[in-house]
Amino acid sequence: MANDIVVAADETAATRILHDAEKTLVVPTQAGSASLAGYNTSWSLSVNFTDGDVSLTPPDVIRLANVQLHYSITLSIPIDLNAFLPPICPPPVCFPVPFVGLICVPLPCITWPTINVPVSISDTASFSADFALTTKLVSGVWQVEVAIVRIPKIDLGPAANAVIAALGPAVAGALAPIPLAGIAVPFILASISTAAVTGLLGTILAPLLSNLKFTIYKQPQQFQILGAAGAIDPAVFITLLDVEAAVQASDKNELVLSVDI
Amino acid sequence: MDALDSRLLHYGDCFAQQFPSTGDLSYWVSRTGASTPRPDRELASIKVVAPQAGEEHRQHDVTVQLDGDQLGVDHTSKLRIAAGDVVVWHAADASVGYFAVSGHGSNFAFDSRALTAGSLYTHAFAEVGSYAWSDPGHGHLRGRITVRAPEASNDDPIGQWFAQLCEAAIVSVRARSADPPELEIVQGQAVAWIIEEGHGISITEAGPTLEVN
Repeated sequence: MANDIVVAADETAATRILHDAEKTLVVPTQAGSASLAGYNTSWSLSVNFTDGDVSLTPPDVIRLANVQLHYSITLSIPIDLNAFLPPICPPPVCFPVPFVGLICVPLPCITWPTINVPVSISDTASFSADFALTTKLVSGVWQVEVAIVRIPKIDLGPAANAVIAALGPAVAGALAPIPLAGIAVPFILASISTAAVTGLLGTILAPLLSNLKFTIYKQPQQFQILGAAGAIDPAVFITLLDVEAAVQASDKNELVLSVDI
Repeated sequence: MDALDSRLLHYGDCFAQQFPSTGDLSYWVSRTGASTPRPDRELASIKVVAPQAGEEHRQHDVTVQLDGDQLGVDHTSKLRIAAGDVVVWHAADASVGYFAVSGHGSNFAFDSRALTAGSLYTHAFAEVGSYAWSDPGHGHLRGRITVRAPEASNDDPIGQWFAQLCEAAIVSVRARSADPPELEIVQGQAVAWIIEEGHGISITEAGPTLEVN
């Protein structure tokens, strides 16, 4: 049976639809902890998406190329300075005591504290990925979504380099209030490699991207076609019984919504 | 480490007592400074003998340590010293926690919670800051210790700091007065309060004080 309503969008229109969907996507700030070179690091992440080019592949694949992932990450890295600095054990100190002469007492060894090194970076990465079309009726609202098929490969090298670059001043700043601890800075920095940072960033971003989806169309199942014109002339609604989305090839590939009412 | 209180000794503190006369003394090390020993606890003991002619006073070190969950000392036999010698007690490490030392013989008694002439208390200051101290039992006995951070501006900052730590910082206590009343030291350095006159003295970090004229 033929659909009652058919709407089509070519790749240019589909690109605009995607960009609008990116603007409406609100990703709550994520937080957690993960290992960075053996340090149990706390992190928080905020992201948003922009841009990207759409290419349509029948029957239901939408490829998004060069989507811009804008992210801000804050890390808090706990570092036990005793792993880098030996305890300071001073020699005994002697006091001249009038009633007995010299009394020498031991001084306690001084151990070092654990510091928390804060690092924040903001950057943009681009990725390309295939998305699949899905439609569903949720609480009386039809939603058409594009959901990522698999985690894309993202070059996190620049982001890792940015973290490494920020780490030096951050470690120096965290050690500044601790007398004599500054000698540990190069040893601490040497313990955190670019590869370790890349691994951490991947660990943080992967779950977010694996569940990425954009809503490109939303419509209440009860669709108003005429507004109310008075007390005895109420609004007129039709029921959208079914909505299907697909990529169809004609003279060009198009994103097609087919609606039964 | 920076609980300044001679009534509660801990790692970084020392208590020293001179024993001026001969005799046998029993002593114990307790967490609460209880005035009477538990019947099942074995006491440590000191035998004070007459010094040899021309013999100089000596220092005898006793380490307070944990024996299981009980406090003990590192000498199992009777500690034999000469009259005029000094015994110095200190904790082996931070696991010892807080302790007090007290004891008595037929003609002499001592208690780290109540310092008397011939004793001293040392405390190592690990944190930078200003510490007002007083004797809660003697309102006029008070002072201030100012602790500054070590300088790290020369080629051998550790060596320079160690040299400062070896400098003797002394407060002489004579009954109601402390000399000097104000003292500045470097972080990690120890101060010795030497009790030259008085009894029942304790050194504690001062709270808000009421001036009495």
